Amino acid sequence: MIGNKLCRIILLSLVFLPLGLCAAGEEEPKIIRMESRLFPEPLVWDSNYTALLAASNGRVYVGLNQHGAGGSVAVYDPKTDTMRLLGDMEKVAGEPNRWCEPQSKVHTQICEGPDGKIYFGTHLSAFFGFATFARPEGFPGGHWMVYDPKTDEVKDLGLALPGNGLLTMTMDPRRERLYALTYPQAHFIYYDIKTGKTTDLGQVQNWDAISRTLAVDDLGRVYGCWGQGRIWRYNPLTDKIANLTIKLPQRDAGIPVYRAYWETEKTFTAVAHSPDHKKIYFLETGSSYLVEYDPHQGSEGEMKLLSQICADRYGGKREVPYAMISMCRGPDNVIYYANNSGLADEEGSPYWGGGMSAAFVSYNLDTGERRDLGLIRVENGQVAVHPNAASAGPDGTIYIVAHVLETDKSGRKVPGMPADLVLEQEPEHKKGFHEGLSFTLRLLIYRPGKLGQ
Amino acid sequence: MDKKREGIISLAVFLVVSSALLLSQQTQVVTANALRLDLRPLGHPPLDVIPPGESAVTALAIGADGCLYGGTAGERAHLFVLDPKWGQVFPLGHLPGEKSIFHSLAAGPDGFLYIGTSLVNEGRIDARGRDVLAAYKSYKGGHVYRFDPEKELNSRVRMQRPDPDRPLPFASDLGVPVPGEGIVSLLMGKGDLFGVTFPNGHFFVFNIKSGKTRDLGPICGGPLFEEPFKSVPRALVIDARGRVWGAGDFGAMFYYDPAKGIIVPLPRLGLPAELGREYKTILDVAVLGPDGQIYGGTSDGFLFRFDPENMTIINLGKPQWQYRIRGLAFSQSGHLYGVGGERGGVARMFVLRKNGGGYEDLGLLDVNRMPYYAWLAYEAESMVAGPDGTIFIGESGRISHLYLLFPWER
Repeated sequence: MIGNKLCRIILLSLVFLPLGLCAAGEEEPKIIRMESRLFPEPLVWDSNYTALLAASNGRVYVGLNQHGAGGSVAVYDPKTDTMRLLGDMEKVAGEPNRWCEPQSKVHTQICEGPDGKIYFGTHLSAFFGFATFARPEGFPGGHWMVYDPKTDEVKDLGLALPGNGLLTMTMDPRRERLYALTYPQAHFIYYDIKTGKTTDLGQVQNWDAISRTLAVDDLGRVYGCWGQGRIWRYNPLTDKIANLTIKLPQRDAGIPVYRAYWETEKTFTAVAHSPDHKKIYFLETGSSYLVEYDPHQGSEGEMKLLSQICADRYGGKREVPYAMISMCRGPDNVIYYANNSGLADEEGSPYWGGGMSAAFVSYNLDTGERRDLGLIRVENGQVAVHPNAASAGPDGTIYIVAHVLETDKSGRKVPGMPADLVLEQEPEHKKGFHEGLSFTLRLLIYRPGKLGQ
Repeated sequence: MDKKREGIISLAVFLVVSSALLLSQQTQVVTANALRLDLRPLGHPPLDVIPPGESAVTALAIGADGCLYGGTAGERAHLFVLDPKWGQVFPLGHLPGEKSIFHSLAAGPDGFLYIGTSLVNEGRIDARGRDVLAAYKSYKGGHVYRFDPEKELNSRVRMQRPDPDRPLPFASDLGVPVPGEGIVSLLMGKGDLFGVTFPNGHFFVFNIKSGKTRDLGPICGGPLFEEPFKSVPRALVIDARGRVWGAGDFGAMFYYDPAKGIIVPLPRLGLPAELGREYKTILDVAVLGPDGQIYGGTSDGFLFRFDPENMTIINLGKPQWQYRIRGLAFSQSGHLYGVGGERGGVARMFVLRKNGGGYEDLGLLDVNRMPYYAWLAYEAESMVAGPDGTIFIGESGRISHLYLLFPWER
């Protein structure tokens, strides 16, 4: 009986989506349309995280993950509107077909060096709760990687930290250093490009709440989050990390939508910088607060709450979707943020509330104007969900990596999602909901002022 | 349920799951009895805590006052106290110029606490890859300090906040027992402190009344084959007759006879080791059991029982796949709890029940009390049982905590 009901729900869910849109809210939802591009081998890739860079030459680099096999990086050339892969990271790392966990992700922020080289790192996929950690069959460790567009070669710069993946990474181009946080041990490490040496400064955070992104200011100081929204700062002049007491503005009450009660760590998910890197913009997790951080004010800097940049329907409410990493600053000095949103105000608990769609919000740093640009749709009206990373091209084009629902079931099946990606251990009664749903990971393209609502 | 609503809900379910793709990290970690494990930060966060890089808990001892005392290693060596009546860690201050209190906290019956200091090298293994001895070229040697807990307590003003930045008050420097050598094990006997030094493995006897030291010389030999260091033990233990037991090269046991004032080597009495690795064997930890027998752990990760009367060693096997047993303590019911694991690995706890039945794996040092606090320790270097039966475990990473294990029956 219950099974039949669930099947009916699944079958009808896509068919009746438009009706659901209308019925759930009183008004027609605002829509923003974007172009999208499939990646090569589109049924292979399941996630992306922070790995997206629109480089200075206009090319777009995207980290692509697959659980259980080698990850890759795609390069999109907007001039020719073509996309290609830079190879299997298992092979590039010299570890193909080993009896151990593979180099299955490029999770890190992708960084461009002053010489135009593209840097990134590799990561693990199916983490088994320390069951194989530090064992020979476990993950050997993520590798620092560099791609040289002039020679069109990806080069392995070596193992970063044994047993750990490179979860996130940033760069100080002036010092020619790559800074990274590892998973699961949350070590802060850096790679000196000139010497090829990796330095490990030790653990900075608990394993379940490692900063998704890192920020660098104009002095080359690096920032992450160490707990309860507080910031740690690495100073390259002293080569030391200090836990600061300054905090992100946060609400104490409230559990973000789409997040389990016990996983409500307080941190920032995404960062952006002013052009001179003298100011940093943090996206806070629980309320989607956009925060301007001026590291030069006082001994610990100064935090200023600019706005709440979740979709309009969540503004000022208790339940706000957990913030995503997909935020960037465009050359027009506007912050663009693709987020999780419901379709309308719905009944139900905070955890279960909301429908589904990625939404798009902008905040103009010059004028302070905040705009909810609507729910994201791509070609054929297909629904974009679950945005990952965002980056702005030099011409102002905004690129976002997101999942797109495939209405003809031609994409990757949702029930096939690896267990380690699931937010919580799913009870049996939930598992059936995903039958029949499929998605593809895509590069979304938004040209401010050219595509509209 | 109308169809429109069904459509929305089904997709909402999908989103709940798929949203995890980007941001989820598992929080389900294996701990045998999560309700029986808790932790304390080393002070009052966020400000008044022993800072990262100075907080590795490398020594624990129960004082005559029933309080737990802990020593740390890192940029500075700190002392902290946990009064069971209060339940929180209170940082007492640091020892200026000192880097490490490693396995060298000894509680005297006089109420004083005796502290031995060293450089940060944990004996030898964990410094692999660095020239550890370079730091000893200008090293004058580890000191013995005497700390007066009563005076410190009485000196506190009402509502005094802990201050890890203050020099440890009411601590007297009793001098350097062995010049140029760090103290890596310290034990209280009847009026004497017994200790072992690094890097040369001297055994010394320090009389707390006269302040005089007898250096009995190295209890282990020269450098070992491909490794430049000797098998300097990281633990000593006193039996019921007052003999002080340890192990040196090839894990061979020795004892100090306080009546004769001599060390008696027992080269044929070797600790368990993987065959072929005997030359690397180090005594990691040792405790006196309620049955009068000595229980110890080795660098190869073996647990053993030693009968000091019959001079026999029983190999109790390996409770975990990793090397190193780094902490042992008996519960009030007589069960032997332990913690072990390698550098770069992940620490695991175990228990050997007194009635046999093999080891129980107690899992990882993972405490998850979200949304309040959560932490998983990768390394632990010390363990001691408190007067009320609580077993304290000292984490030894860059950011460290004190873990509290509340033993339970099977």
